[in-house]
Amino acid sequence: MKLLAALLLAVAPLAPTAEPVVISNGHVDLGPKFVDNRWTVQLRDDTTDPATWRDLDTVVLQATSKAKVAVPEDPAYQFLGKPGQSVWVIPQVQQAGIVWPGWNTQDTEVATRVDREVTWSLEGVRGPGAFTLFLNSDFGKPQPVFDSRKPFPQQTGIDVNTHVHGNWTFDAQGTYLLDVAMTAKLTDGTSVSDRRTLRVYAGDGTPSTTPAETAVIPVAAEPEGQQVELWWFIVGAVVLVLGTTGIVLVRRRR
Amino acid sequence: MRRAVAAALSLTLLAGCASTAASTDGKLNVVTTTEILADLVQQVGGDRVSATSLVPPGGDPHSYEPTPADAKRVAKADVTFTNHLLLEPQSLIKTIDANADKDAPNVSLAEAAESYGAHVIPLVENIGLDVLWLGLRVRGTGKQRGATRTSSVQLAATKLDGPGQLVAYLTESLGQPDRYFDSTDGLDKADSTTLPPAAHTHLNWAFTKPGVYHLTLQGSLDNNDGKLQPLGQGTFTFAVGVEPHSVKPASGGPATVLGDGHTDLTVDLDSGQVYAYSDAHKVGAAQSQVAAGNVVIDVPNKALVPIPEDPRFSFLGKPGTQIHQLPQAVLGKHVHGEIDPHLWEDVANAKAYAQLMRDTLISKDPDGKQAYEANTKAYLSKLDELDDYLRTTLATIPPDRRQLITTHDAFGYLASAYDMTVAGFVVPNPAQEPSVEQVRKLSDTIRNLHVPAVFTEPNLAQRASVLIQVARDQGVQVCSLYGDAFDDHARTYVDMMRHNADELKRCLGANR
Repeated sequence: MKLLAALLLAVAPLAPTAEPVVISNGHVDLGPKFVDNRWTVQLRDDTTDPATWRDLDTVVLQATSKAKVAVPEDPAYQFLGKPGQSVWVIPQVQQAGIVWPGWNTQDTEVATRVDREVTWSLEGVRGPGAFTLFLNSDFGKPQPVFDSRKPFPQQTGIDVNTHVHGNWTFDAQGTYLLDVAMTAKLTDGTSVSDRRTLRVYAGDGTPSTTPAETAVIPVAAEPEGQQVELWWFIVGAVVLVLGTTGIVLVRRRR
Repeated sequence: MRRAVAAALSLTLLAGCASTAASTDGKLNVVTTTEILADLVQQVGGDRVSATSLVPPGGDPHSYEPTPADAKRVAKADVTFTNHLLLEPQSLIKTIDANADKDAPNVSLAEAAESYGAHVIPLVENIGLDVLWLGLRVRGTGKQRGATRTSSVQLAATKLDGPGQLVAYLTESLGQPDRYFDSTDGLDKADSTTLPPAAHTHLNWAFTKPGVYHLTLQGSLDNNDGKLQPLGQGTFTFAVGVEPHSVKPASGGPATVLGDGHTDLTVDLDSGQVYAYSDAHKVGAAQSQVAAGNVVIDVPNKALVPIPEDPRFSFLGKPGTQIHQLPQAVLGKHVHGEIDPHLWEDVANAKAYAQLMRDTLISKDPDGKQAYEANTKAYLSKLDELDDYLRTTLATIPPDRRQLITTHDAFGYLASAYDMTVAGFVVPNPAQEPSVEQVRKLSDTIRNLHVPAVFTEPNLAQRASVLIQVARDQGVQVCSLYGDAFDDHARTYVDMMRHNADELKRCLGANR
């Protein structure tokens, strides 16, 4: 219900060619899939029945205030911020009302053709604050996977035919563009790789109507301080400047 | 790596007639890191090849430090073979890479052999995570029971019997534990949890003492109408620290032992049944359902962990006490990109090595093609016999006694190929010192499993002292297995593997 409402609102203003789906509740997985025989990083959306594999540029994950928590005193969690500071944590274990993003290598063709493991790398992050991805082990000691304050690229491995969840954290409100790549060696000896941008919005309301205090467009040589409201700008800009400076489009579609 | 061989081949062709097998005695001079690899090359190369290893007889490749003389030998080699990083230390690999002649093929066998059919196992970094990943799940829609999306399903632990206590708990994102089932204060209404339809969750399953446990779970459906509709119940059996194949499941019938992969204890809203729902091991195969009463869940001694100092976890017992615990998350059990280097402990992999060696030798010495092919053919059929011998010999060991406790983690391939279990080792890599913790875990493992024997490796006498001491303390036989090196008794790969088969049968096969 909530999702539907968010959807309707999301398409209201500016409506460009693509209408991104906002997912703020339910299970989704990032993962590779062979789309028209091409290795592609997509998002498996289990909030629909049957599940829908979506292109990353058509979807936004949202961490609402339900995912807002205070950083604990425990020194092991100081990478999240100062004790007491508010941060958005999308938890590793499903929590009602919060989107539950994992990552999997279970698409049948992927699971059959990949040799041992997929390398997942974070090539960069654009956003108003720090992003981390960590895992909880049994006694609560956090195990970091990614941290946007560390040098890129950062890598982790995903065993073939597995499905995993972690904690996704964001320490300021706004849109985060996670530049992710997934690479694998196939059993036939060839290699495949794909690089895409996953969008996550931390904050309430709908990503489209929230004040543009934050996001930065994913262009390398970007003047400082130029802050623009998330993908509307990107999609809009691409539409506007199509044919003249196709760089943004090309970069994003790689 | 086919590419590497092809590249090597084209290099040779480019070099033309200038470089044909020039060596002191007219033989192709092949240098390998270990004696095992040198033996394999010698079998394939026959009279045309002189193969020697850098690590001396009886040496430990994991800790071998190369000498300046080694660098000279590498520089003179026509072909070099290494196994893989983590068998050989970086300094040894570097010595070879830096000194090998640029026209001399330099092949790292483990990964390259995959295209010849070698079976490669990812390196396990944390064996405590190399266990079953166990959760809870609700399946089905429950439409005929009036369930809707707002319904919820209650899963309650109603009965536990066993030598100790069970706590099933979730550690939340910020380290806070949330107990779902906790028998330490008895089981009552509080020992239940609620899941929405079609949900699943992962938990830590902690057992305070080794032994056999039976846990009864009862499912109920809540349609928000003020009453709970009972669904089915089922009793799951846990083999904690003991050999799971020797444990009878609750139904008394044949058991399905669940020891790896991902399984959820599941209540089905449609059938009302309670069962174990497991991800398929084979890609594309269907997930499997096993009725609760037929399930034995393996909680091996690998899962032993000490209770932390953290007061939030005091419900588990005194800090420092060892408990068996299946963890809520198992990511991180493998080191990204790394593989277990001991491939030859599976004979099928040695066959892949031999074929890769054959093609590498041919690329350097095309005149020897016929000889290399003939030698390899003969050797491969010898390896087939060896593989059969291992398989038939080890099959005579009762399944509940196929436990390997060794000085270092070198036998994962042997276990995987011939249906053995790696129950424990002193240290993963012999270049490391065992910690107090590791020694304690080893002692517990030997005690809990009542293993008839432990195994040392002839070339790791120093590392063996810990294992021998622990074994003596518990009156367990000490036997030997060849891992990374030969000794005076076994001078070939075939000899060493035959010894391993015979020794395993001698030490594990007979009645205690």
